Amino acid sequence: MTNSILLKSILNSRDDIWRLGDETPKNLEIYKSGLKELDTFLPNGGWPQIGLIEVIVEHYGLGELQLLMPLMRNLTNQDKILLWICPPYKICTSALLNAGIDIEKLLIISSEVKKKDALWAAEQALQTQEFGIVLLWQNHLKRNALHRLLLATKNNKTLGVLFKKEKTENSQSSMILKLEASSRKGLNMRTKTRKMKLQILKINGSLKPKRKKTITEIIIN
Amino acid sequence: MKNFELLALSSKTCLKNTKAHKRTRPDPSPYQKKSPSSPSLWCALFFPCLQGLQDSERKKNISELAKTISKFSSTITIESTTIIFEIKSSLRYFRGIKKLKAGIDFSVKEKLKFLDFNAIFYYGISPTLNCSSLIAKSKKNLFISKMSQIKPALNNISINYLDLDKKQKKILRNIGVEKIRDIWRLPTSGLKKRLGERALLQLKQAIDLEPELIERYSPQENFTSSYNLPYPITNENKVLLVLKKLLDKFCIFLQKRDLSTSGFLIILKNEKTENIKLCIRLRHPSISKNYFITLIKAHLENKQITSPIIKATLNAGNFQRKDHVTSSMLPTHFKDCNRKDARFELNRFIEILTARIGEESIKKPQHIDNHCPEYTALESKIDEKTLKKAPKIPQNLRPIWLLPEPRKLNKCNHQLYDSRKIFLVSGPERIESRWWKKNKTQRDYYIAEEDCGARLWVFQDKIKPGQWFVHGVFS
Repeated sequence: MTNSILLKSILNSRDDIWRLGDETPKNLEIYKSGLKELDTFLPNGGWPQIGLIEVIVEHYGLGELQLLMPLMRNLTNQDKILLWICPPYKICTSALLNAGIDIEKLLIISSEVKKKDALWAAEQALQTQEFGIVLLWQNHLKRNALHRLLLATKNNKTLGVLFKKEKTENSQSSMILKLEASSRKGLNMRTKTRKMKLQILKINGSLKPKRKKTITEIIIN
Repeated sequence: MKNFELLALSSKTCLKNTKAHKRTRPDPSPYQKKSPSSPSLWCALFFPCLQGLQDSERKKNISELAKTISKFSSTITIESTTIIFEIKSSLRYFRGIKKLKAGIDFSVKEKLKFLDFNAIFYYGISPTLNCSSLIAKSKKNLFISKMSQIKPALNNISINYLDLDKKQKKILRNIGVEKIRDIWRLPTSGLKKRLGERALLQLKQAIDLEPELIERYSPQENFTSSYNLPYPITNENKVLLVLKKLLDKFCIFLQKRDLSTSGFLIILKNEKTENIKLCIRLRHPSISKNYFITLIKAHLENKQITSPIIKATLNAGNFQRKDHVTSSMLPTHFKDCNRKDARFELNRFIEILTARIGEESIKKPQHIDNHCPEYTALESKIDEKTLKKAPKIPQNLRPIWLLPEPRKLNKCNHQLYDSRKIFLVSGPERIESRWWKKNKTQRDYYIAEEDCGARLWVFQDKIKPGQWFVHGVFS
């Protein structure tokens, strides 16, 4: 009995040992998302600074980018470059300026490039320290392609976000966070805000999300 | 008395000394005692025919003339339309100043005729670079061999030939200064206050009170090397081996000249089809062979070699002086906090990306202040210069995504449909083009919501009533 308590205390004192059932790695550095409700919902209280996040939406334009807007604003203020690879539509600069994003620090790789080139660009960008965040819009990714992206994020301080339209059972991948976003109908006319439903499908480090709360509703612009 | 009055006094004495050689008086100026006698002799050639030419044209012609001058001197500097070069070291080789001058005259006149210009130019020879330049620009054609003769020679030159801006020249004219001799009389402290420290530097350098820094001209060289393959090759790796050999030669060429390159062209000659051209462009000049290979590999990734290659050629002509980086001597944490190094990494990334996916695929957004949404957002190429004017931040709500072309919506029983039902939520906001524009647009924009909760930016065309379009998506 005393041995098991001793072992527990030793294990608890070390942050670098992962145990089955742990929710997330403890020493994960995070970026504050800029949205209070989102910070409380996300593991460790914010977006991870390193790794690859997957955001699944029914179709692009449901409000998924609004989740990352405050983070991108902070990153451009810190002189970090944002890279958007294969965005689904043309960017309206007025909206970005409205959100306080410095468009001088935004690079876009056109959606006309081949899929393999887009993935290669994402891999290269994730290996470079210069980018604050790399956003990639791609569907139907093979497991090995996903794995290469994950490896690229391992040694660098760059966050990659993959936006996908289809939900696949690709859960064996060591994606740090997998979210499903869907928009709620009903625009608040006074505050010009709306609600978004977020569901955590996977968190790195646990077999199943053992959190009590895996679904939430967040107010976005 | 540290002012130009003393210098003026000394200039007067110099004049007296030159006029009456027998009379010797000690120089009252403390400045002249400090300055050592210059061992150099500078010749300046001023070409009035190059004035008024476009910048690129002028640079091209003056560098052609400088190439001619390089036969007579190894130290050459270019100043807009003037070439200044050191000739003292060449005097012995050309057997005296007369023969040297005759040689320069002949060669330069021939070159000017070849370049279709009037064979007229002016020269100035003196112990200082700036003095020679001023004499040549003032079209005096003088030869001064002694330091003591500099000031008398400069006395009658107008202040127009000094490197001063319009405002500074106006200030001098307002205080009655027309010629350089008038400047000697004025107190230096007062002049410094009015014109700034830099304004007097040229004069100080001309009379050898300040050291002269020169930017050496080096003639632009080209590198061309080709490799005839013993047998046709289609294998990409084998082609790369050949290119590595060419790059070896190229890097040795750069190292020997202490140069770096900002781009080169590789031509792979095909047996049957069109030649394959790999244009390597760098944002930061480089000399690294490994980096060049990385870029070539990225280029070849998207270019399939369909027919056999029989010859490979490397052409380069865009060289820069190599930056002597001493970062290896610095601790790594110092290097990390250097922003230049960080941007260097970004530039490298963009170079490799450009090599692989092409320049046209990498874009940066640009905002133009225009009320018409189609014209506010532009996507320019990465190296294109953007407008530096700070954009006005729009007040009205705008979507993040714009469709390339507005998409027509279906209307059925007063209900709008795209792929799902659409409900108008707020609006309208009238946006119309200026009345003098040809393609007149008049639209009422609304924020709409789809069944699934997606927000859309839709408009009703007022010119074609009853037609509804979706123009943007609020992400």
